[in-house]
Amino acid sequence: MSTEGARLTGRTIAILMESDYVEPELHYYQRRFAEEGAKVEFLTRLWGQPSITFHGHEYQQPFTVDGDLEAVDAERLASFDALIVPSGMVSDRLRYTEDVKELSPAVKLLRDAFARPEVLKGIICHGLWLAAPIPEVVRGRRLTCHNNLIGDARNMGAVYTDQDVVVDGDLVTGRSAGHCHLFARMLIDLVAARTAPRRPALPGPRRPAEAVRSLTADAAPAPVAAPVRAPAPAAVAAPAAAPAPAAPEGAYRPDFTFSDLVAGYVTDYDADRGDLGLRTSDGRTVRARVGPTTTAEFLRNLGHPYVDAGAHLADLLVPGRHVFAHGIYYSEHGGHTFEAKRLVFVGRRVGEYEFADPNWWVDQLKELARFYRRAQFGEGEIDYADYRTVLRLGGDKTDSHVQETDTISRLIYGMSSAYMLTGDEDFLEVAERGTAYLRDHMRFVDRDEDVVYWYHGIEVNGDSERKLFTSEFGDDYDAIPMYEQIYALAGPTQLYRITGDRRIASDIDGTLRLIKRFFRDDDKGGYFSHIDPILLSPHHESLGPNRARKNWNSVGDHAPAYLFNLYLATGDEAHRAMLEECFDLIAEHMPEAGSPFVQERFHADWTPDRSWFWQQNRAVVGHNLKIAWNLMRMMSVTAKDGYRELAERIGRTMPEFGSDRQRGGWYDVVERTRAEGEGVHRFVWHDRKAWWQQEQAILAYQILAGHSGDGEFLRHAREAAAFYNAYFLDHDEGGVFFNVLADGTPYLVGNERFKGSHSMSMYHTAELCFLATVYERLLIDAEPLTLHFKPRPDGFADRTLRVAPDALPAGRVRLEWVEIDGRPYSAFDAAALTVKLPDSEHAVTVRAHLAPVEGGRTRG
Amino acid sequence: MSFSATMRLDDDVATIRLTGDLDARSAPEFNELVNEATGLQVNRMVLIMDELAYMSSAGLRCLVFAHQKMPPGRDLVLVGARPEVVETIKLTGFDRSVLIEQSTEA
Repeated sequence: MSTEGARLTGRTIAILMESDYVEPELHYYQRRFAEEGAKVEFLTRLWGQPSITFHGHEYQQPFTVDGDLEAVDAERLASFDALIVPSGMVSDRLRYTEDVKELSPAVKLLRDAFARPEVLKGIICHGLWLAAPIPEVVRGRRLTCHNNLIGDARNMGAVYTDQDVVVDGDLVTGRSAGHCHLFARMLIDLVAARTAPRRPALPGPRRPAEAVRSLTADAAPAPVAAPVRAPAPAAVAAPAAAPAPAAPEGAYRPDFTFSDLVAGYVTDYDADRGDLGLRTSDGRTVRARVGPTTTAEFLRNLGHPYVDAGAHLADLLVPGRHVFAHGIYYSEHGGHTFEAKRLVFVGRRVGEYEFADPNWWVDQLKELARFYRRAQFGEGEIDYADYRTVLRLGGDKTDSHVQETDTISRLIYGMSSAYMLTGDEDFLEVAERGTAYLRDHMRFVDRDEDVVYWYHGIEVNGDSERKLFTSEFGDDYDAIPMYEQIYALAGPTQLYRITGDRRIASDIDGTLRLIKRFFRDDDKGGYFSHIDPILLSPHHESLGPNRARKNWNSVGDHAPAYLFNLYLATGDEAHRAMLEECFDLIAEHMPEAGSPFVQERFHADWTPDRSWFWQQNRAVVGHNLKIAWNLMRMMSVTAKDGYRELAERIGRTMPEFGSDRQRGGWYDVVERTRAEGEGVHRFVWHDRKAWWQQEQAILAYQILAGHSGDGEFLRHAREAAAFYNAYFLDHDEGGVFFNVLADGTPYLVGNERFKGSHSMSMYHTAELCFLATVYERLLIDAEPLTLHFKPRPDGFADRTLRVAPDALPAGRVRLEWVEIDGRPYSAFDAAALTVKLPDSEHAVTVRAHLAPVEGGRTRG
Repeated sequence: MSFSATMRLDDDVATIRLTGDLDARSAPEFNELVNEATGLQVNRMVLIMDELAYMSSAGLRCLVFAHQKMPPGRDLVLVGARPEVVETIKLTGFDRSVLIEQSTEA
């Protein structure tokens, strides 16, 4: 790809100078950077003189320098795009210090430059000597240098890399003067890639100037070369210092058209020229063309009509507005022109979001519940005999008549949650019948052990059914996985909150006895991930790689799937203690220095298992977010500084490593550590985005924002919810998509085309709607919330109905009024969020109206 | 009472006669035997249970697991099971999956 010239207009390259310089090298820089339009400044220590003339190493050529490096103050340093320490004896001379307790001025300047990520440091050949007095600036970083200095580099703690040019973030190194052209070329590419002038960011994005990169004019979005990486938060110092990318040989740029998505905040818009400026979540700028074939719409909910926005673009494209732009990149003029084809506005006014409407998530849940009701049972009688786990994209059924326990349980969860928010008894009926069906068909009552376990599912053949006792999934084959027993409880427990049905309580208790007797590791704590089907042992050899293992799910999934809800329904100290134990284990064993991601799999003694099947040493982004979210819920049950610190640390760290800050949305599975030469954590299989991981991000950042009032967390909650609502809702068929491509296009292939699969069936989608409503209204927007319950007369112990919708910070929410069977009712405790139920012959309908407490926010 | 199980193969029918107590201690042995039968991909597995005095949940788990491993549509027949054994089976819903017959003559 040809260089178009003058790519560095307005840029400044500073080069240190002294005697014994390498003539061809310095002359090359002088011409090459100037050729690109850059201003080249030569600096040296002038020793009080107006200028000094140096002589070259080989031919004694004179070179006069009048730039005083001691006169470079912070502001001037900040104006340099790059500072180069050249080859030859220049660096050796410049490190001379007359006061042995002081660093030389040139070394100080270099140290100051290293403190500024926006100033590239270019060090070539013997230039590395200048870093010797300040080895901390290169410690742990990849670099190259003259062969004679390899030992010196290693002594400084640097990672010597056998390449002609090495880029480690803001440090560019070259092997020898003979490679000065490659070295210069890399610096030019890197500086050019950061064309946008440095300026203050919009209020939204954090760390704006540290990573400014434009996608237009003269830099491509693909890795021309590594952009300067912003320094990682202290908590993840290790990964930040890990090897960054080397420049690929003959850096490749896409010189073809392609389509992509940009999520950003409008910085400016020239309606006459159709020229739009956007700033991404991480503060990078993008210019987009808006033309007559650009369509525009407002974000819409499931069941809502398309609302066109095309007629009002000039009014809508005002600074600060959050917008998605999907369009086409044209490779031309040495860079790319981005022409937006479809704009999605996430709110009617700047700073407004459609989904912050109090009814947004409620309406969405109603639509989801109707979709699944219709798909599974049609419009008439609710009969689970014809329930199917596999539903096609449009909700229709296939020939497979498998009924998996966990998909029915998830449907029950969703329908129960829909009832709680809407009071629609049809949804409650679906939940009730599903729970009865689980009891009759999926439950193994083990009288000998006095425990209950749940079949993986059944295959229905007319009147007979084949019990699928052990898991049919590859990960868990021939075993009883903890995960499936956990999720078997998700739906019935959510229903139990509403009805207090003693049959449900009895099955939950039986399953908890199974969990505590057979899955629990009484010795080292936690819960094993699998037990064998005959002896119910986690140590049986038939378990193979699942023998004596623990994982994120077996330890961490109790809390979100059923345990919080069970505690909310009962207030039972035993459940609280189990929650605390699980979170203590998470906080103790899962975070790990050396990776921004938690460790997810373990041997019995909690040593990491990095060889398991697909997981290896890989991170599921959503599990990290799920930990943050649930730790914050736990803060309202039993507060510990360690919980909040870990949750906030994940919340601060994760956007850089797990989210797509160009397009919005959250990724799936990535490598926990970077291999040598990799600047970013690699995607394991693809860069698609799964619906449930978006849920984790939205809830994690909502609750973090709700507890702390931190605007940064709220912004991430908004951005995640914007992407989810813009790209996951299936307006044509109903429901939500399993996966979308990085640019938001639905991925509709194979299992990911289905709507009822084991994970999808109305659990995460409904949990999101339910809890986003709770967090948005009660913790963020100070809006009230009415919930519905239908307790049975023989249900809850002491006839106490607990109506807290989630674990909420003490004192933030009050129960304002209660209605029973449509009439006002006064026997309730406003602060404890409990209702003393009347003595009644039949189930009663309870409406509980919760309201946020004025000024109730504290950092709990 | 000690447990024993013997298997006879006639064409594609495996007939297993059980005697004594099928409990957690004897379950692994029984599991091996039924696994062998399912490995042979028999069309029908018949368990003669009239001399089976007791079947624990562990024994029942072997049966359920074996049935899962049989190809779909093949029959598992339990013959002559005592009422308390049938009761254990019903508690797990497994009666919907197998054919329960009164005696070998049936």
